[in-house]
This record gives sequence, structure tokens and C-alpha cells, in this order.
Amino acid sequence: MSDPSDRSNRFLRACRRQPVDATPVWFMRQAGRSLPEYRAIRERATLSGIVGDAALCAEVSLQPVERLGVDAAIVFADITTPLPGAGIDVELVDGVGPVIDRPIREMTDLDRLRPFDPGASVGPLLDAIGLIRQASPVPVIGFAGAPFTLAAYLIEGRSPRGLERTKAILHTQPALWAGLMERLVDLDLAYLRAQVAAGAQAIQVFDSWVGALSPRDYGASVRPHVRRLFDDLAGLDVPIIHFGTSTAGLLGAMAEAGGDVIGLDWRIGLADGWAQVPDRAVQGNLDPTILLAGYDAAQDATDAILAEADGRPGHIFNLGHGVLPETDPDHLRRLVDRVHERTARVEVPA
Amino acid sequence: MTGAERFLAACRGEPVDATPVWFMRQAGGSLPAYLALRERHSVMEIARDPERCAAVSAGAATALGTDGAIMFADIMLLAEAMGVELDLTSDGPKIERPIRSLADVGLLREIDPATDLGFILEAISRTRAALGSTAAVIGLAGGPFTMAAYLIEGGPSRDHRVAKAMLFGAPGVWAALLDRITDATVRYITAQVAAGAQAIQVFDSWAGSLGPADYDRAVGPWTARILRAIGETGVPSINYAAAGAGLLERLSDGADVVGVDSGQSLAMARCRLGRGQAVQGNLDPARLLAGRGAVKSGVADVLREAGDAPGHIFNTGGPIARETDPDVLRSVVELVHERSARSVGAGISTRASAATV
Repeated sequence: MSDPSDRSNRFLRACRRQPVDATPVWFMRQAGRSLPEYRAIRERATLSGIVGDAALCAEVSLQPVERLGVDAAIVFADITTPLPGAGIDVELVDGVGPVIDRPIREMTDLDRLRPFDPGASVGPLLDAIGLIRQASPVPVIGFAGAPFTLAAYLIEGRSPRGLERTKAILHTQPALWAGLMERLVDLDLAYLRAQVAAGAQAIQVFDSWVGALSPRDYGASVRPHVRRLFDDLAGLDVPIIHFGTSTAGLLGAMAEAGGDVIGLDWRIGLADGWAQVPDRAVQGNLDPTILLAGYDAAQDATDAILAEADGRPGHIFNLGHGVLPETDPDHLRRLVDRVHERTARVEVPA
Repeated sequence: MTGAERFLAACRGEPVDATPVWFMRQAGGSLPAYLALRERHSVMEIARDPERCAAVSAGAATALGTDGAIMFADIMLLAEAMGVELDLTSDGPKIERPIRSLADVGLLREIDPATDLGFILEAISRTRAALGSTAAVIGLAGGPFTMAAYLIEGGPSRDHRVAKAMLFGAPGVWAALLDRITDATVRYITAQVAAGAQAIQVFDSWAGSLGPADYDRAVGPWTARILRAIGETGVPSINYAAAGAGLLERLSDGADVVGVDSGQSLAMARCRLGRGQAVQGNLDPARLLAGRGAVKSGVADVLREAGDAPGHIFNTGGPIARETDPDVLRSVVELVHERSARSVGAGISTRASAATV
């Protein structure tokens, strides 16, 4: 049994709904453009340059642990990072995001997808996870895009909006859809297993675009695939966080697919969201834009979230989506301290 | 029942002979008569010409067979009447000088609907005359958050971060702006009803980007004023937000009908809101682009989830894509009417089970 008074165990214990000495905190996209030390590195390295250099990637991933005092490190990478290793060329365009020149639209396009070999494709990233694990005082989180969100990128060709093409394929080309989802589950499995083997102590699956689906379409065309992913990952014995945005109408269905921890965005009250997934831990759910309005507004909203969590075991404090680049890191640092102070427990049952 | 009777009865939660149907953004789109008009006129020219605007609004309801006729009117026409200079581009409205301070708010004018927006009022009267009772004329206004977000951001935005920075960081400016918007909106919708609108839909399309506590503080009180004003005119109000599953009870508060988007189960929504609350929705508009099978099963699912309780208006869960085939929309209207046909006042519904379609 891990020692509950040891701060390095907070995050993993909370994932398992065990009592903790204080509510753990980390921030999605905590490594990145809001930190001056990251921007300094970006002046001499591109995004793919960072992900392709183990030492640099580890350095960037550890920056927020040092500066913000968060309770977990997440490896710095993009959701599209594994795609080239699966045969899909991705270009990261500033201001646009990932762009895929030859999207998947036809059955024959599936032939372009190759089995994913993590060691050969993302070796430096895996090495970075090992380096973070060695150097970090807190657990390291690996991650991947969920099959639906990856499929949306592959079909739309760029950051998806209305997802009309994706939905059209889901409805009208069931064989293509199933074939694509199966391959993406396999990709995720290989990618995430390799991250855990390299040292990741928890996994977050980002289904960022899933909120565009109706519960019925999710249940029929997405959940079976996501469930296979989670079922097969269960053997790894690391906690898995299942996250999406605009999911207030989907939380129950997502939890049925799997996840020890369900990520909540800010569009639903934390208590209401938790009531939909009562047997899981939850992560969230501060609106990231509040931080642009100054620290005081963010603190009030944070206190309100903690009041909704009400000291129940199994709450990990986070934003409801990624840190915005304009965010003042000092505000983040103060929020981490605030959460720890407000939730500090003197005696913790093991 | 006539289309207008059917639609209005459903808004009031009363029994109907078949579920009424209309589609958000049905006026315009890909109807041949509209496309022909667009070859010669801009969107703004059509909107400002009562005869053409009425032809587009009434024409869509007639061509598609819907029970409601939403007016062809951009929500930002009201902002223009308040003195905001804007361009309606294909990417949405663009505002040259967005509102960022109390001084900017002070520049917004009070509106006089008859002089500032007379063309829409005239178009409403003409639409009503053209349709008779075949379809109810639905007036509209942007909701307070959506209007404010446009005015502050200067155009469409993905996360509304500038607007939210004001909402969180300058609550005094925010409140002053929402007061102005609400005053103007109340006058605007009151005039629309006087001109013949039989229901008003409040499109607070982006309000779903707020958390519940922030909605309560920064939007709810102003929405309540608008819905109350609609109520005082005697016509039903519809309140709609996209991605609104986390706000559903709040959106329904004070509204005769709440719009349910496609990201949630309609059955769950009805369960949360109770039998007394009328709901509108919620076919995923993307299904309309995905072939006959997807349309048919989607319609059946929505009807099944709506159940037999009165107070359901069939609609898409969000605005339809402009390229949506009018024939597909027509087939949806027919399918909904056919599958939901029942005798009124018989006490027991004779409606065929939607589960078998």
C-alpha cells in the first residue's frame, strides 16, 4: 500500500479513489506556451524537434513540475505524434494545428495505414518518458488521442469543426468506419503499452472531439471500439483517465466504455457530472478562460469546484481543457497552492 | 389541425394530431427559389427587403411543409440597429470596433423597432399573411450571451475567451452591456409579436460554453427578463443553446419550450425536465447529409426518445448545413408527420409505435 502522506502518491491514489493528504492538481497542456522557459526552447526548436529529442522533451515535460508544483507530469507530445508511424503524414502548421494532406475517405485509403512500431516510430518520446520517470518527484502520465478523435483528424484532414465528413462516413460506410476504428485501437494499444513499458504510471485518453456525437451514435459506432481499448489496457494495471469536451450528455456512455477517472469539462457542474459516473474518480473542471481574467476570479471558481467535490476521495483538480497560451503561470502556481491548502487533511486513513 | 395550430399546441404542451416540425436555419439554404434570389442579391439586401425576406421565410415553410416558419433574419441585425457597424461575411458577422469598455457600451443606442428594424417587422406581417395558418411565424433574437460574445469578440470565436475575460474580470462592464442588449431585445421581440410573430425563439447558441455557476451569474438573470417579456406578449418562448446538456434545467427556466441539442439524449432530457416541459429537437443535422438510411433511423430514434407525452416539437439539434438537400428535409417532415399521427382528444394515443419503424 502506498503511503498516503507521501505527496508523490497523491495523484495515483486519487485515481484509485483512495484517501489522500491533499487533492492532487495538474493541468492539461501544463507544458507548453504559457511557460517562458518553454517559449525560450521553442525559439531554437520546432514542436516535432522537441518530441523527437528525448532530453529536450523530458526537459519541457518537467518544466511545469518545477515551476507550478503540480502533482503529475505529462509527457510533452501532440495527439497526432504517433500518426506518421502508422503511415500518415502530418504537418503541424502554426495557427492551424495538424494538417493531413491525404485524408482517409475511401476503403482503399485504409491500405495506407501501417501497423505501428513504437520503438521505431516514437523512440525518443519513449526515452523521454524514462528520463522524466527518473527525474520527476511526481508520477508521469502518458497519453494518446482516442480512436474517434484520431479518426476525425484522419477523415477531416485538419482540426475538425462540424465533423460532417466523419459523421457521413460513420453512417454510410460502416465497413470503412469499423476498419479505421479497429486500426486506430490497435495503434493506441501499441502506443500506450509502449509508454507504460517506458515508465508511464498513468494514461490519459483524450477524446477531445467526442462531444460532437449524439449518445446514440457514440453508443453504436464508437463505444464498442473504445471499450476494446480500455479492456485491453486494463492488464497494464495503471489508472486510465478518459477525457472529452462537451460531454455533459455523454458521461455515462463514456464511463461504460471505460476509465478509472472520467475527465469533466467546465460545461457541467462537478457534482452533477460526478453523479453521472458515481463509481469512478473524476478530474476537472475549471474553465481555462477564467485564468485570463486574473487570479481572484480563478480562485473563487476553484473554491466552488472544491466545495462541489466536498472532500470525497477520487477528485483530481484540473482545468476543463488545456491551459491557454496567454495564461500567467504565476496564477497557475497560486492555484496549485490554493487547492493543496484548502484540501489538506491532517490524518489520512491508508 | 393546421400547421400553426399543431406547432402552437405543442409549445403549450397540449395534444396534437402529429408532431410539428421545423428546422433551424430552414429559410435560405439550398432551396432553388432562394438560390435564384441570391444570384442577384446579397443576404443583407434580401433581409432588408420585406417582400423578398417574407418570400424566403414563407417560401421555405411552404416548400418543405414545415409547421413553423422561422424568419430569415440574422441575429446581428439588432446589433446594427443599436449602432454597431458590421459586415455579414460568409464566416459570420465581422465588427469593425468590438466592445471592450464601459465607454464602448455607452455608445450603443436605444432602439426604436419601428424605425430601426421596420423592414423585419414588415416582413413578419407579410410572412404571416402569406402563410395563413399553414405554419406559425417564429420570430427570433440572439440570446444575451451570444449577442454579447459577438459584440466583444468582433466575430465568431471558438472559445469566446475575450468575452469570458470580460465576464469574469470586468463584471460591471459585462452587466452594463447585458442590460443594453436585453433592453433592446425586449423591444425587438415585443415589436415582432405585435407585427404577427406567433412564437419567439431565443438563440443563445453559444451559452453552452459557460459552466452552470457562471451561467447563473452572468446570463440567467438577463435571459429571465427576455423570456418574461415574451410571456407578457402572450406567445410561447423557445430557448436554445448548443452544447447545453449541462445547462438544461437552467435553459428551460421560464421558457415554454427548451431547445435540446444533439449531444444529449432527448429521452434523458425529458426525464430531467419532467412531463410539463415542452422540448424541441434533436436530430443531428449531420445525418441530413449522410444518406436516406441515416435520416430514417435518426428520425425514428428522435420520435421514440420523445415518447408519447405531449409537448415535443421536432427539429434538428443545431442549425442545418446550407448545402442540405431540400428533398431530404421534405422527406423528414413527411416521415415525422406520418410516424407520429394520432387522434387528438381520444384520451388514449393511437399513434403507431415508433419502435417498429
